[in-house]
Amino acid sequence: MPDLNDSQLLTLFNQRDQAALAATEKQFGRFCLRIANNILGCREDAEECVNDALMKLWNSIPPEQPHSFAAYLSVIVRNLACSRRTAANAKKRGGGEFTVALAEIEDTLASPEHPEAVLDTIAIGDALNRFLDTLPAETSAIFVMRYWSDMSIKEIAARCGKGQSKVKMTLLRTRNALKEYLEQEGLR
Amino acid sequence: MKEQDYINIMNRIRKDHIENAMLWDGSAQKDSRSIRRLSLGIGAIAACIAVVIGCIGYNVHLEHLANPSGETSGAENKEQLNLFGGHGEIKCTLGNDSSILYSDDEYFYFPTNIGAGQDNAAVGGPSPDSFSYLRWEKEGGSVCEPRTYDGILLSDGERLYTYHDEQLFITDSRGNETFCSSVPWKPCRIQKLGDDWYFLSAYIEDSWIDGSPQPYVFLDMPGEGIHHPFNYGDVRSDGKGDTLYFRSENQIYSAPRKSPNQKTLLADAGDAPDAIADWTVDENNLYYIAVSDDGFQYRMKPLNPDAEVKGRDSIITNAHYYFNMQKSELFSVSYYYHGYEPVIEVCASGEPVFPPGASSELYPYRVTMAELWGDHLPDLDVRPDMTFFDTDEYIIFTLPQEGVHGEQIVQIQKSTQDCRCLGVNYVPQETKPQETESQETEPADITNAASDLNALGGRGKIRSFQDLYTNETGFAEDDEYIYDYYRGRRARKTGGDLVFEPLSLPQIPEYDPDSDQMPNLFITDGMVLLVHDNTLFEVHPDGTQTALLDLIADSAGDPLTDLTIFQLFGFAPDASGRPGKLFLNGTVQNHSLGGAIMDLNTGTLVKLTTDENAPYNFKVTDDAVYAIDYYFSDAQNQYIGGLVRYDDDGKAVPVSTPEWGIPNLPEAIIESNGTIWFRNQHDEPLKGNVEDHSVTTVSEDEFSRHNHNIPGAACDVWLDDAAHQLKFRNSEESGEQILKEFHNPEWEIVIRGFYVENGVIHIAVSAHEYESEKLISLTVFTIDGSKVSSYEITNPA
Repeated sequence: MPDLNDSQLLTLFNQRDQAALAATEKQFGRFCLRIANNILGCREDAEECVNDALMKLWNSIPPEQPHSFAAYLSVIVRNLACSRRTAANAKKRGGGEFTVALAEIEDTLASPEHPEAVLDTIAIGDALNRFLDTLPAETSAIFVMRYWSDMSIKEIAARCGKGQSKVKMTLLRTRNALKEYLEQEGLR
Repeated sequence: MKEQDYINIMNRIRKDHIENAMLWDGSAQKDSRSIRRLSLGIGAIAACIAVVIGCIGYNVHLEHLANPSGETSGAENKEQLNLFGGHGEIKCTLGNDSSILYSDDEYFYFPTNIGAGQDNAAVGGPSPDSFSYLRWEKEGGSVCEPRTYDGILLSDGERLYTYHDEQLFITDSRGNETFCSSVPWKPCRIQKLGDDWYFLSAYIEDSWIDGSPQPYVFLDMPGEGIHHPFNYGDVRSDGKGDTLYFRSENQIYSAPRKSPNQKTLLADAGDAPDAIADWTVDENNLYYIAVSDDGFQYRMKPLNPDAEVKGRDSIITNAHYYFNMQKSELFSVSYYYHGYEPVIEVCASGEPVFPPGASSELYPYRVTMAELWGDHLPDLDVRPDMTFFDTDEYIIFTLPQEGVHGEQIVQIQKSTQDCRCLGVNYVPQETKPQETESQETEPADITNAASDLNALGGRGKIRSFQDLYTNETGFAEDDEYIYDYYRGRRARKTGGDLVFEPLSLPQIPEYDPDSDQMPNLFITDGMVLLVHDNTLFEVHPDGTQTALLDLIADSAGDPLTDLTIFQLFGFAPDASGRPGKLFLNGTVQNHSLGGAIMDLNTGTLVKLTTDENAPYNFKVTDDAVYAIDYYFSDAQNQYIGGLVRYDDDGKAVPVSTPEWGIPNLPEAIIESNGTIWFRNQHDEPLKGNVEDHSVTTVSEDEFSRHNHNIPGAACDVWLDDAAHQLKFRNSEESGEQILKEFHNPEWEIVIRGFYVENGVIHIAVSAHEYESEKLISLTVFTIDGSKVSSYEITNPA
């Protein structure tokens, strides 16, 4: 089956045609698997997570009519993967790119006096959005790929057509700028 | 920091940011990212600076609230200031996409991070508490100043509104407020549908994820206040105030004002995504622009007094370009190919837009896109993101993509037809750069006999630098020049300053430092290959070319036309040592090959099977081609694989087993003895054997000795990102050596590649500026045993 565009996929879902699931898995399965795997660090768990996400997608469309399948599905996958990770690693940090990404950014987000504590996740999240608004589109994309999707540096470099060194430096500078921004906002 | 905190923070990232990232395609975005930025409003640029600039509007606003009577205090001038901190009454002009342009006596103020707001998918998240805007002087100057208004200020094109404490107020220019209505959500847009009928939009938290109702509502003023929650954001009225028109996907409906859910279908543009580019309505006709593969079709549908279809659609015109649709406005902007030259054109003729081009006497603004954008032309096949305003005195519109000199906005004075370009970083080009002169004088420098020159016009043997991990090449050198041949340019090795000049091969496009276009030029060890006219040529020192492969037909007699080679990953030498096989990526008859091996001796092309996403990493060794990060499904539809080797038919044969645990996009080295060094999903260093499929955990030290290993040489080279140093280690000696320390952390350092000649290692390293990607320096190290030498050419400041 050739790849379908978002509108065609949406039509299949709206018609309750199960070919929608096969087509979605074919087109986005690996993409979702990477997101889940980056968070969970375990292929088997990631595959289960993707299956769950497809089921959730099936149940949500209709009535949902997502504007972009890739973005919509990635949100579902990430949320499921985070929930699964939270449940599995309640006491101990697991492996995977998630841990690496968290280690990178925790110094930026956490209070310097109390590194274990974050002042207000809602306020920081909202400030983060405002901060991302100020970034060039590519820098914002790189940041989101790293800390929202937990993609590896290598993946991001391949996706953006940049060197790994450049991606790392972009992230470093963005984290530094975010740290300053949060300080200005009184959030760290 | 707790994981859950991290998750919670990241979960709040808005949809638009996620979409931007998830749909990001580096290769495709290189040329279009400026468009994307503008499509989100120029705010990305503006807001970048705006965060450090005082929030003038809101401060004035607060000040006024503290002193609503406007009585003078010690600061006698402050009551003169309007909400933007300027002088005079604020006027509002409604743009073609519901954007508002504010102005006062001195300035224009153009909000940039609040779009039309017709669809919350365009923004996501809750309505903002502030907005960025560009401010520029009405007369004089060329620079827009990014600023922030800290507060909720709205306009329907006529009146100003403020919102706070869950209340909407009508306000004057200085912030004197009159209560209007209680509104439970922060609104982001107000649209006047009639004298007492308004449409209010707001975004609420996560409405796009959890499917919560869209807070689109109608507002009757004065009187009933908010009523009729509505599901569609793109609405119009015909000015009479009795009928609502709205769009849902590609359908346009009408409905009575008092019963907006009793809809009547007026037009259906089909199932294709975004099939309606724009639409408008007057009391007698519905106009809309249907988009198809062939361009834009301008359609008109007559309506009866009950807002029902009265007759058949009539096609006004077909166009290959988008023509702004503002029936009642006095200007239009077209954006199309004029002959072979793309132009952007403004017609302030005073005639209605329909039919398009009916009057074309006046063209106060006409510029070719090449002037504006050089080679980075916006895509003419899509509707450009442009916002138009027609004020009493000016026509103002945003460009769909920032110009090469920073042009973002064009302002035309109607009376004089004077035209000004504006931009945050716009620099009017008064004089041409001096590079042209030097470029023209360079060819005269080559005065020696042609026989001294190699195929690239330099002297000595051409040696190409090969990427450590991917086998790619892009830089080469000879005795005289270093070549950045992906960009069709070269620089002299001596002289200290890095000055690029275009390659002089006639088939190479003119040097353009801003162009990412890669000419079909490939350089092997001493051999220059060129693809043009469906033929692969070897270029000789005297400039002649020998056809190595006629790409019209392969040896099997099958047509093999329109081969486009995107990239050469590597070469396999034949018995004579010359490249016998090319490993490439490209397309044939516009179908992607993914990866393919071309035998230069037989002319056969073997396509390598790839998974649906095509692996990122191919490895070419002397006797085999591998793909890493390869996934495919087995009979149980489980993902397996990781590393595959291709057989002679191009079929992928699994090499790794699930036990290898190959992660996404591994950085791996495959040695000639069939050993692959990589890190698994758990970041553990491993080595695998491609023959017996075994895998063994190795020490970090052993891994590091191999992972940065230069094939064919017993040494490692790597970038220590933390220390910002280029390091080198000879495997036969102890300790590592710093080849170079880069003092400026703002630079990106890239190992461009290496080659080994007679046991001597040559490594090319470049430094770039991050933001501008300007090349700062190119350094080539030569390592002969323990002796290290280098030459460096640097870009003059």
